[in-house]
Amino acid sequence: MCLRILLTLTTLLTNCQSRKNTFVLEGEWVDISCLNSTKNCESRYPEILIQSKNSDSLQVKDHTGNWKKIWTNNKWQSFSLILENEYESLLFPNYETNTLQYYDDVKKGFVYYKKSSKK
Amino acid sequence: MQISKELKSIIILTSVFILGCLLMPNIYVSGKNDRNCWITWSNYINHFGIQNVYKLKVDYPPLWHYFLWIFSKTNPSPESIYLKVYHLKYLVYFVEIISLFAVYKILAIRKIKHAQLLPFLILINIAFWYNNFLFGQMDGVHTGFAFISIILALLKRPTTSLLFLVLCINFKFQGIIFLPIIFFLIFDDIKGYSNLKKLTTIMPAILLQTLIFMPFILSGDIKLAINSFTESVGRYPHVSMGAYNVWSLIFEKPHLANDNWTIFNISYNTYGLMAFFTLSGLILLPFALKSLNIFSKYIKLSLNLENTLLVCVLIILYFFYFNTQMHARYSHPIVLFAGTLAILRKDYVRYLLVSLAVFLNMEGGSKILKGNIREFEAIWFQPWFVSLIFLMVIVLYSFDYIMLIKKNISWRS
Repeated sequence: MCLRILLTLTTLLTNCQSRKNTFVLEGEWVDISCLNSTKNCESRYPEILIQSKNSDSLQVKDHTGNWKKIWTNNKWQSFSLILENEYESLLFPNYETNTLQYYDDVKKGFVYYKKSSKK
Repeated sequence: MQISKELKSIIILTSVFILGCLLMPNIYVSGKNDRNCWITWSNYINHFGIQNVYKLKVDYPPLWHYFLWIFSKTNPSPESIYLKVYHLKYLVYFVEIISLFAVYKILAIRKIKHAQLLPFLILINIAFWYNNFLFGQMDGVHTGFAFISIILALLKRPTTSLLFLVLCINFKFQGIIFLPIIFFLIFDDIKGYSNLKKLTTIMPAILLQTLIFMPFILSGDIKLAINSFTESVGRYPHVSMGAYNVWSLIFEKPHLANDNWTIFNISYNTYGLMAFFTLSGLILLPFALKSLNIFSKYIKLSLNLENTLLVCVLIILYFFYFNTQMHARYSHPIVLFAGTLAILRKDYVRYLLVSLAVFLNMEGGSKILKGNIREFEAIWFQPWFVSLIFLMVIVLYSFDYIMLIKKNISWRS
């Protein structure tokens, strides 16, 4: 019985999903709420720049258009973010929609990022 | 309607499980490192399937990924994975409750009074639930599997015992420290079997191992899956990773010392391993001789529950206390084994002492209950002080062991 369950489980696991990871973290990500204008949006970080060479910092753009570095702990495909209320959030991918998100503990909701189309 | 004692115990433990789940805090150790790993891996597994998880270069053995797979299938969106990550603690807690049921079973078999209530002496111990409930780690799972495997071996159920051993090692490679004692217990049992019966005894374990590996075999990542067992060994070459063990008596800041540094051309890491292997070898030797039928006329030692638990307690303590690169939580398995031994012996001093040491080390390192990461000033949280409690416990248990050997080995046949 146990073996039958395990066999079924393995078959399900291997056959149901086998997708190739084409997700690219590196690049410029824009807060979806700021897609039309980065200047007037209320985002904490209107844009985030992820560079593979830096694993302990993220470049974020503020409302004045200046870039600054914030500390992060980058593990696998996620980045820790410490918010102003000391809450430690996580910026991580949604592979289905090709977006990034983190939980905003101040506003009690998720903030979504889309890859910038700028080259 | 008469409810059997076993059913009553199942109902009680199920209620305790449900209550524990309802009270489960969404708390993790400062830095949220473990939480972030579980979220990232679950999210990846949810989208790409468990068979591809090693493409992410994760370094945990396969069975934990099955737990993450179950979790991600019940929380299938990245948002819900993030918000409900603490539900993973339910799975760990479930195995912990099962291991307490195993404690109840052996007490019931022994016809010990209040067998249903005595396992609660372990459950209510903060040193038992701190690691999962507060820290967010899952050492309770491989501990539970190892414990059940040992109990089943003692109950002369070698096939199921081996299945749990496979689960234990596939969950956390550290579980391998229980392999020799389980081997001796099972060997003692099956040495009279025919070759065919021996084969049918171990075959389900081989099959289970193959099944656990199957997704990774099919995805071509089996080498990565096998490497995951040992990959984390040596990743952080520090004398201590937070364990308040013997190295806290030698160094003021053992977490800053590299364990590849040498004295007399031998590294600290090697000293630690030598101490662990020598002491474990010494305490296992009489059991090995008895099991393998060597000098058996001189050895009256019985491979019974109390003796086996005592050996396990010592192996866990030696492993944690002398090796380098140890985390505070690596002492976690001691609570279940020492607790059961204490209940059987009706002697709780050692159990209380070791539980105190485990708790002080966990809280001293993670400061979850304290609420901030400033160092403790109180003496009982100082690494050297906690290390001395561990040392005292090791001396007490080693003394018990020496008395046991003295009583059961005679030099005249």
